[in-house]
Order: sequence, then structure tokens, then C-alpha cells
Amino acid sequence: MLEIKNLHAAVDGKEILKGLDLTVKAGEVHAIMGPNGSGKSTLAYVLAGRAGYEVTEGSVAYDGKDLLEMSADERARDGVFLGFQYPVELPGVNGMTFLRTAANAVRRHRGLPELDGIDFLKLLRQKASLLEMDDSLLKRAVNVGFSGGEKKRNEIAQMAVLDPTLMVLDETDSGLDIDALKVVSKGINALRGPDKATVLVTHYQRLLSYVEPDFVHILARGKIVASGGKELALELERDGYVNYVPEAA
Amino acid sequence: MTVVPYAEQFERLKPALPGAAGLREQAFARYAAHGFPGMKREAWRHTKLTPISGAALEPAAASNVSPADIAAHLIPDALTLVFVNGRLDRALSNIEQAPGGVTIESLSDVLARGDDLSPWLTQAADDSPDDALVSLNTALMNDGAVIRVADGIHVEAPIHLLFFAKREGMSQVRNVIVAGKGASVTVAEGYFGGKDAYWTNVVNQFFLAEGASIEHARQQNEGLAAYHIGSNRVRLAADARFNSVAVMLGGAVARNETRVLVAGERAQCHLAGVSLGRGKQLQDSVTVLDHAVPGGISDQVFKAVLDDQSHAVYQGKVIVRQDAQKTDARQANHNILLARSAEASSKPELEIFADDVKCAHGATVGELDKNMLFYMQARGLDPKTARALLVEGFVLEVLERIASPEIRDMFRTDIGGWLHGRALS
Repeated sequence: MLEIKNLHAAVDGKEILKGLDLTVKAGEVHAIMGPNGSGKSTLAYVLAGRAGYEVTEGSVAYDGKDLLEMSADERARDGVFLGFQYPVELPGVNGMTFLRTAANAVRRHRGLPELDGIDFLKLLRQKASLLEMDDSLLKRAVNVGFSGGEKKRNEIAQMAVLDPTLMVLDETDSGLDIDALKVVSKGINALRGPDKATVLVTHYQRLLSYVEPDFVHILARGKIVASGGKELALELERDGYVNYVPEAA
Repeated sequence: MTVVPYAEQFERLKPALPGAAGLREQAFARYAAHGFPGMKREAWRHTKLTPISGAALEPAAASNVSPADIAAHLIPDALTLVFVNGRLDRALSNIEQAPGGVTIESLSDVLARGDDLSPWLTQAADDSPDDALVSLNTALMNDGAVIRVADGIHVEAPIHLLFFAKREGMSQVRNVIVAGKGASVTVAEGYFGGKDAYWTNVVNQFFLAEGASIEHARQQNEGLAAYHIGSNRVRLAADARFNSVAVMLGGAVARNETRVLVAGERAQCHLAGVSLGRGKQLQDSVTVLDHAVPGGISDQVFKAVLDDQSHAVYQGKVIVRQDAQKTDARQANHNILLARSAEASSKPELEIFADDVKCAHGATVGELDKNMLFYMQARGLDPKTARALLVEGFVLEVLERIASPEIRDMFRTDIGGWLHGRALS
């Protein structure tokens, strides 16, 4: 589903990713772990197509297509979802209007009929209840005045409504207390499936106790320096990154 | 003294103007002492008036509109006054349905029958050159609404003043709204016009007695060749509350000036404005909040969305006098430029003479936020849709301050139409 080869990317002329390789097959969950500044968020943004993240070398294939040739919104409509580390507040933009507009853009792309207000509301209620999310949050301006945990739940609710194929979740666990972490994890797990794939970008192991990865990769200085199963995350939890990143000692 | 514009008109027109002859003479003299406020006046620096000051306009001829013309602008279940070229059209109005405790009359009728409105009318202007056009309005006022709400009366239906301009000329409109102790009322104004070059000079005076509340909504959607000078004067007694939202879309040169005197303790004033500019429009929002007594609250939010070579101005002055301790005064001005050639000017001014007060102001001018746009694109919205939603959100936030859902919806439709007509890609 996702094949990243020798990916080099720069921000403001500074190279952050320095030859990253990663292959994610349908049905798999991959965790990308690494110390701060290793390039985790850069990878997430490059996959989502953020302006200012310049790919200088390498390729990214998504479902056989050249992902890097697609605009950010094309990628989203084609099933790539980025869960933001810091979800953005949209003052004055009603949550329902926003999400229905997004859902219908995705549906048009998939050749599905658009949802009217009533059908959309039903879908939204169903997804929101999975996340134990208060309905009233969705009627407010997107993310405005939400707590950190509410913002993350809202990300997963959006993801559930948009039903993406490739989920890239950037530090979704940061800022969550244990109860919120459980709920958010439940939401992520509900979206796992044989034709879907997940890339979890995270600093800590704790999310991985709830969303069990098939593979764990360590990203350091812009490259994957080690890969393994979930036991690798436990090792990191115990020993830190010192065995992989000497300066982390 | 050189002859000021409109001197000849005043001499010629005054015998036919309704009532208040002495007041008109005094007001004209005040106006004539200064003439039109020039661009050297700080408060008028951006408001270029030469087309209406250079060659004096004649009063717009009597005209009419059809019920179909106005249907889209009506507020359901409102008490409506329709003015065409500055004159009340009784057939299209329903003021006789005003409930008990409320009188709604044509200014022309009130003045013609000899009622003395001077205790109110004289409060609108002083000798400052900045007030010259208000004085000119007092001299030439032809019609408008006089609304009186008795003590303790809550008026359920909004009172809607609708002004239509057909053909060239000027309209000198004066509205006086008096809310008695503990009374509450909603007053909406709407201005619409055709393609002709015309001038609307309107002065609104709001008097709020103790504990009175006025919800004010203003929709200025004049023709694109029009000049619109709106001057609002608000006087708040103790515990009174004035909440105003003004939307400006029309006019070649448009100004909406609101001066508020917080004369009674604990009074509240909420002022908000949205300007949407295109072409070479100039939209000037001017406020003066004068806190004279303790415990007053004022907050202001003015926003502009500007395309092409349009220019929006916000000048907001807050005066906190020595006695006005515990005043809480805020102002915010935010502008989005859709084109590099558009311009926003923002000028907050604070004159604070009391020491125990809270005053805050902030201003921003920018393009749409790139983080927000990326976030929306990352959810599948194309850039054009994302921009439209953001701009709409930016201005709808202001409309949330309108208490009446019907008025809010009407304004939203107006703004939506403007946005969809813009190249937001």
C-alpha cells in the first residue's frame, strides 16, 4: 500500500529525512518511534503533502500511484489521513459543516452519493458515540476552545467519518490522560482492517499497549535505523534510545 | 466666508422641509462654519468626499418600489418601515401594527405637526468640524423614523427600517430611537440601491434610559457607485445595554461612525462590524466610546475581508474619563486581504484618565492562515472551498453576536452571496 524509497526531505533548506525506506502492506500497523528531532513529524507531513516540506530525493508510492505528485487535498480524498499532533483551530467554521463538506468531497471522489444533512448527522452520531464524544463539540467551531484530549478525539472522529485507507497518526497519544488514551485507541482499532494500513508516529510506548503494532521502526537522524516487532518498543521503553542514538545517552 | 456646498440648496429647499425651521438654521450655520470635513481631519483622513462635496446633489426625486423588489429584504413578523429615496412609503409599511407602549412615526409627520424634537436632535452634533455632516443632516433632514418605547415595554417584533435608493440625488435621513426605563427593542436597518451615483446621509440617535436594551443590526448594501455616510449617536443611562452589528458591503465610499456616551454606571456597549470590500471600495468604520462614569463595559470587534483594490479603515477611539473607574473596554480589529492590492488601515486610540481600568486592543492584517488551509486540505477540501469556509467563518463569528436568528440568517445570506461571487481560489 505504501512504499517509501530513499526519501530525502528538507524544511527551509535543511535536510531532515536522509534516505528513509519503509514498506507498509495492507492490514498492517507500523509504529515509527524516535527521539525528538529525528524527523517523525516531517515524515508525517511529507506523506500528507504539506507545503514547505520539500522532497529532494526518493519516491513514495501509494496504492501504486506517485503520492508526491498529488496535492494535499487529493491525497486526503484518495484515502490518506493525517491525524495532527496539534489539531488546528478553525474559528467560525462550524464542525458539522466542515466535516460534511470533507466527507462529501471524499465520497464524490469514490463515486458515492453525497450525504444530506440528516444522513450525515446519523453517521456522525454513530462515530462520535464510539469515541464517547459529546455531540455539542461537533456543533461548535472546529477545535476552538477544545481541551487537548477533545482535539485528539475530534481527530479520530473525523478519521472515522472519512474512512481513510492509510492512516498516519502523528503523536496522537500526546497530551492524553489514560482514559482518553483508551478511548482514542479503541477508535483507532475500530478502523483497522485487512484493506487498511496505519502508521503510528509516537515518542512513547504507551499507545502501543492499546494499539498493537505489527512492526516497530526506530527513526533517528532522518533514517530508519532499526526495525522489529512490538518487543522493540518495550526495549525502547526500558533502555531508551541510547542503543540507537548515541547522543541520546 | 466662502460659500459652502449645499448653501444654495438649503436656501431653496428650506421652505418645503418639514418643521423645525429654527433648528435647521442653527444646524446649517454649524455646518457652514466648517463645510465638508476634509481629508486633513484625522477622523476623515481616508473618506474622500469630493464627488458629493464638489457638486451639490439635489434631493433624490420621489420614487417607488414594488412589493416584489423588497420581498427578499424583509424580516418575518417585523414592524417594517420602507423608505424610498428617503421618504416613507406608507403602503409598504406596517407601522400602524405597533403594539401598545410603542409609537413608530415618520419624522416628517412629527416635525410637520410641530413636535419639538430639539432636545434630542441637538445632541447629535457639536461644533467640531468632524460633525459637520451631522449638522448638515439636521438642516436638511427630510424623513426617517421616530420610535418611542415606553418604560418597561419589551417589543417582541423587530423594527425594521428599510431604505431603497432609486436614481441619483441625496437622501438626508434622520432616525430617533428612544427606549424608556427597562424597555427592550430590536432595531434593524437595511440600505439598498441601484447603479446610480447617489448619497445617503443618515443619522441615527439612540437614547437608552436606565436598564434599557437595544439590539441594533445594520445592513449596508448600497449600490457600488453610492456614497453612504452613516452617523450613529448612542447615549446610555445606568445599566443600559446596546448591542450593535453592522455589515457593510455596498457603496463606492461608505462610512459608519458610531459614537457612544456611557453616561450611566454599569452600562454596556457591544459594537461589531463586518466590511466586505471589492473593486475600489472604501469602507470606513469609526467608533468613539466615551466612558464618563464608573463600571462601564464596552467591547468592539470589527473585521474586514478585502479583495481587489478595496480599502477598509477601522478607527476606534476609547476615552476613559477620570471618574470612569472600573471601566472594561476592549477593541479588536482583524482584516483578511484576499488580494495583495487590497488595503486595511487600523487605528486604535486610547485616552485614559482613570487609573483602575481594563483596556485592551488588538489588530491584525493578513492573508488566510496557512496552517488552517493545510488542515482543511488534509481533510479533503480543495483550496477554493477551504478558503471560502475560512472567510465565511471569519465573518460569521461576528454575526453570532446578533441575537435575532431571523436577522442573522438574512445577513448570512447577504454575506454568502458576496463570498460566492468572489474568486476565492
